[in-house]
Parts: sequence; structure tokens; C-alpha cells
Amino acid sequence: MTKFNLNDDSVVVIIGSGAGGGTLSNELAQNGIKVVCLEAGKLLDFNKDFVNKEWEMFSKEAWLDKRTTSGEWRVAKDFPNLPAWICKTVGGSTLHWAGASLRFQEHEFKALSQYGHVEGANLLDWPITLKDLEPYYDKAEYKMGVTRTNGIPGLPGNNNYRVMEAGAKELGYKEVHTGRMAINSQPRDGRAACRQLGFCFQGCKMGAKWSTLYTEIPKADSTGNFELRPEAHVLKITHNKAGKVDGVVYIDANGQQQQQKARIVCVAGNSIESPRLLLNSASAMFKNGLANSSGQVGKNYMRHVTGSVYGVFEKPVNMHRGTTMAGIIQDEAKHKPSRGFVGGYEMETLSLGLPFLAAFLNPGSWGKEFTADLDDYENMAGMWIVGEDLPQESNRITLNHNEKDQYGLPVANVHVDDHPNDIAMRNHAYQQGSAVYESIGALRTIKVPPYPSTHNMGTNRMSEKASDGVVNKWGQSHDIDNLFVSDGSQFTTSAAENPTLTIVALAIRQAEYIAAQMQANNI
Amino acid sequence: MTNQNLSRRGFLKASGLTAASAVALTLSGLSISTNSWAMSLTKIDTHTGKSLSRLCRVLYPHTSLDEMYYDACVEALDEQTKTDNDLLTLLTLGVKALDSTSNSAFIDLPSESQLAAIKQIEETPFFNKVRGHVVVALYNNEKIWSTFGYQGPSYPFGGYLERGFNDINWLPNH
Repeated sequence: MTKFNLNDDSVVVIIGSGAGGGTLSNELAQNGIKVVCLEAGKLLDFNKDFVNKEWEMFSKEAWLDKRTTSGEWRVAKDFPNLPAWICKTVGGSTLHWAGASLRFQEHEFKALSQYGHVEGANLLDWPITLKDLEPYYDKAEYKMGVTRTNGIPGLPGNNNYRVMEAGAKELGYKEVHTGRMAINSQPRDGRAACRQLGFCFQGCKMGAKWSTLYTEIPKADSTGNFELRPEAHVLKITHNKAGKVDGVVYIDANGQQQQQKARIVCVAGNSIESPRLLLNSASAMFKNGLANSSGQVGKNYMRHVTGSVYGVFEKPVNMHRGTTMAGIIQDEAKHKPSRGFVGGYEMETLSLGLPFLAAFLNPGSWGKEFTADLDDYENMAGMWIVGEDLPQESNRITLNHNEKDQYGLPVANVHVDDHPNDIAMRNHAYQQGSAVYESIGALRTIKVPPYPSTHNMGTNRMSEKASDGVVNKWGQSHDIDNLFVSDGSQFTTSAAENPTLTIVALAIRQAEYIAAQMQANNI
Repeated sequence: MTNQNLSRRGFLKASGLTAASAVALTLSGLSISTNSWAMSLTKIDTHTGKSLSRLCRVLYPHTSLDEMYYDACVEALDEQTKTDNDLLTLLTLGVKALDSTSNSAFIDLPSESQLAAIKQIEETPFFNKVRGHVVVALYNNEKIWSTFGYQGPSYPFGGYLERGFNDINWLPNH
């Protein structure tokens, strides 16, 4: 309930309240630092506003402000104005994430030196190692209550998992389990245990799945050092004559333009809006946008090598019952170039309800063959592929000056072409995913193209050298020392794992750094 | 017929149901036979409406689904035309284009010829609009979900923890 004055230039302004911004807000507030969190989306009540209906929740939680697309990726054809399926709400995409919380592997922090130069890719080693991040992974797992860590039992396997597990064992896969999930398998931290509702993508109506909406945000609020402003859409980050950022201009919930002064600004709007904001903040001093002396802002957009495989069986599976991401096969997540590609991929169960499956099974498709697949809904099991995709400079977020948003600012254009490595990996994963289901008698398998991106990474990447990226190993911009990036856009490479746990670990680590730098009066 | 429809719609209005879920009545025991069902359209003319409903079925054919579910998709489009005149024009001209692909009106064609007619207009904005609408409106109609074995919202029933989340019994033993 704390309120800070618009002219209070001692506050840290955090833009976004998701995994990065929400966590950073709480970590700083707990440390006695004054935080104003500006969130473009609305504040929803998980118990009152969440419903177990796919399209209804989509319209409540998804980021639907206009974006455009280009490139060879199929999303540009099927969903030209919906390149990403992420949230515009307090809590950001922690509302609809499925909860999978995997640590990156050691070699994935060293993609360039481990994989070597790959033609067409802009690979780089992270400026940090797994060892640097391990203590923060520990803290993140504890904070989020990740199953199979901290003595927390795994979730029970549902039907969809049991089908995948049976097929995986038939194929000889060894690393098969119900996942490391930020979903309570028993009551914890004032939140209920999972009752296998399904509908993880629609926001957990029980609050069993970790979301900053009902963990970090209220905890930050209770410190008295934190003010959340929902429906506050930031247009521009401003700076002073010395080239330090000094505040933000935003449109408030009443449609009024406001300016909030700041000592430090942290950008956590996810990998499309964060670079867009830096680019839209261009000034006479920073003609190519803030933090962009390297020219890397917006480049190296990554979305993971994804795709889904559904197996159709003779008898009912009822995949919709229970958690959406109910288990995982990790055997293919290693770097084994003998498969014909660098990096690896995870296979994770996934289920969609009938309304979403119709829209995403084969977008644009119609006719008897398509409806015959839907007629078998009850007998389907499904999995999602999550693999490391390669950063490419040409896969990037740019400002589309021909299309303006509701505030008259250029919208983001998202350009993606698959790298040959991405295609080889996806084909391998399609083949292995199909084999999992065929090994236990699937009548047929359906290979589903990637959905609009839920994992968005890399557009303000971390680098040792200022010429290679946008931020240093603390997420602090190379160019402006009181400007930070606090979301997945700071990822140097994508790794094969779902990004949220790493975003949270980086935010905890960044909070320590910011507090120490403020203490030392360096920023 | 008209009176019947009026009273049915009056009931729907009073109970706050949407046009697309009008079919709820059938399943909840207030039986309406297929014959007594008629699409209720305010802007779209009858011929266009019936042709659109057929188009919806040819796009997403399910023998298990009665006409009324496809009609409901058209009713939802009709609702949109109340505030979108361009849409009304798009739909009316689109059906005209479908009708002019052969000597007979689209609705009167045998089913194979209907398919062929649709393929001729597959890249048009009219086609994309209707297809994009139906694939959401049809499968988002909760009254058809049980036909597919989809159980819909689970929170009101306490989730699936005690309702079969892991009840599969035909997997090979390991």
C-alpha cells in the first residue's frame, strides 16, 4: 500500500512484474530498497478471476497489443500478429507457465567453446558459469518450492505422463520422471497442494503453481518498500545529460501520461517488449536506442526449437486430466553432435483442451482428415519438444515504423528463420517423440508445428565484452551503469531448458549486486 | 415457428446465455427437435446464413454433431455484423462467390462438389475469416465437449486428483 512520489528520484523502477521483474522487486524490497514496479497489464485475483476455460483466459491474460512478424517461420503465416503467447498481467508469464524448473547444464553456458563456430549462428559463451549460478539456483528452487529439490516430493504421474513413461522405457530411455516443477506437491509457503486440475496454462486457480502474482508481489508489498502500479504502460526510459537514466515516461491506468523519476531502471518486459522499449527510447545522445552501442539490442532472438507430437491410441488416455507438463524425458538433452546437430532437447508432456487443440494442432487446416484427428481427442497423448535454438543476428526484434500501437509508438516486428541446426534437431525430436508413442502401440502420431512462442530469449544478451552484447554478467548494461535488464532477454544462449528458473536465479543474483552497488554509491 | 423462436430466445436472454450456447437447452432436457430449430439471424439473410452453416460443416465435419452447432457459429458471426458492416458485405459477397463457382447454388450442390467449390475460394479473405471463426467458435462450444471426451472445467469438481487423473489401465507393464 506504500505510495512513492513521481519526483522521488531515489527509487528503483522495475518495468514488468513477471519471473524477472516480480522476483527482483521482492528481493530488493526485502533488502530495504524502495521499488516502484510498473506493470502494463491488469491485476487479477487468481481465485476470483481465473477460469478453467482456454479462450476466456487467453483473452484475460495474453499480451494482445499488436505485433508483426516476418521470416520463414510458420507462425508468421498462421499467427501474423501473435508471434508470442505471453501474458500482459501482474505476474506476467508466470500466470500461464507450466511450472517446469530445470537448471541449465554446465556446457550450455559455454556454447561457443563447446560447440565450436557454427556457420550462420552468433554463438557466444555466457560471461558466467554454472558454478556462478548454482547458489542462486538453490535459492530460486527453495523460493519456488520446486519438486525433487529441498526434500519436496515429485508430483504423481497422470495419464499423459504414464503413456510417455511407458513408451520411454520401451525405448530404453533412463532419465524419465514427473519433472522438477514449481507446483506444490504438498502445501507450502501458504499455498495449497496441486489437485490435478489441468489448466496450468490458464493460471492456477488453486495457487499451487508458483507465480509472482501471489508470491513475490504480495511479499514485496508487505515490506512497505514497494509500490505496484498495474496498467502502467512504459513508453520511454529517459536519461540526463551525463548519459545516466533518470526515469520513465508511462501511461497510467487512467490513460494519463506520467513521469516517474528513478535512481535505477530495470527492464523486465520479456524478450520482445524489453528491446522494443530500449529502441523506442532513442535520443539525441543514444541515436540507436539505449544500451545499444554494440548494435545487439533486439538481435539474437531465440524461442527454443519446439514442436509437439501427439500419439493416437486405440483406447482412452484422457490427457487433459491433471497437470499440463506432467513429466519429462531428459536423455536427449545432452550435447551429442553424432545426432547431426549441436545442443540437445527435452521432451515434456503437454496437453491442450479441445478448444486450443483445434486451433493449434495444424493451424489453417480443415476438412475430414483434420477433424478425424480431433474425433480421437480422448485417445491422445501429447508431448512438447524444448530444445536449444541457435542465436542468429538476423532473428531479431525491430521497430515497425509502419504500424503504431495504441500510444502511437512503432510496434515490434519479430523476424525468425530457422537455422539448419534447429531444423535437424526438430526432425530428430519428432522422430524420437513418435517412436515413444509407437513403441507402445500408437495407431498414428501427429507432428505439430511450433505454437506462438512461449519461451522468448536473447534480445539483450549478456556478454563479457561490450562489443558482443548489451549487458554484463550482472544484467547491467555495458553502456549505462544504472540501467539493467532483468528478464530472459539477457540470455546469451537458450540452452535446452525452460527459461523461468534461470530468469529467477539471475534476478536473485542481480538484486544482490544492485544492493551492493547502491550501498557503495557506485550507482 | 417464429413465436417458438422468440420465446426460446427470450428465455436465453433472461438466463444470460449466449447465442452460441443456445444448444444447452437440448442437452439439459428442454428438448428442441432439429426441425424446430432455426437459425435466428438479424443482419445476415437466410440464404447466406444457411450457406455459411453448410460451409462451416464442410470445413469441420463431425458426423456426431447436429446442424445446430454449426448454425450457432453463424449466429455468432451475425452478432458481429451488427457492429461490423464490412463483415456483413464480406460474408454476403463470399457466399455469392461460392454460388457462382458452378451452375447451382453452393447449398444445393452434392457434397463432393461443395468441397471443390470451397477449394476455389480457399485463399480469399472471406474463406480465412470464416475458417478462423469456426475453428474457435465450434470447438469452444462447451456443449460439444463431452462428444469428444473433453471434460471442461475441473475446478468446480475439485480437479482430477480423485477423479481419474491416473486411471489408465491398458499400458504394458514394466
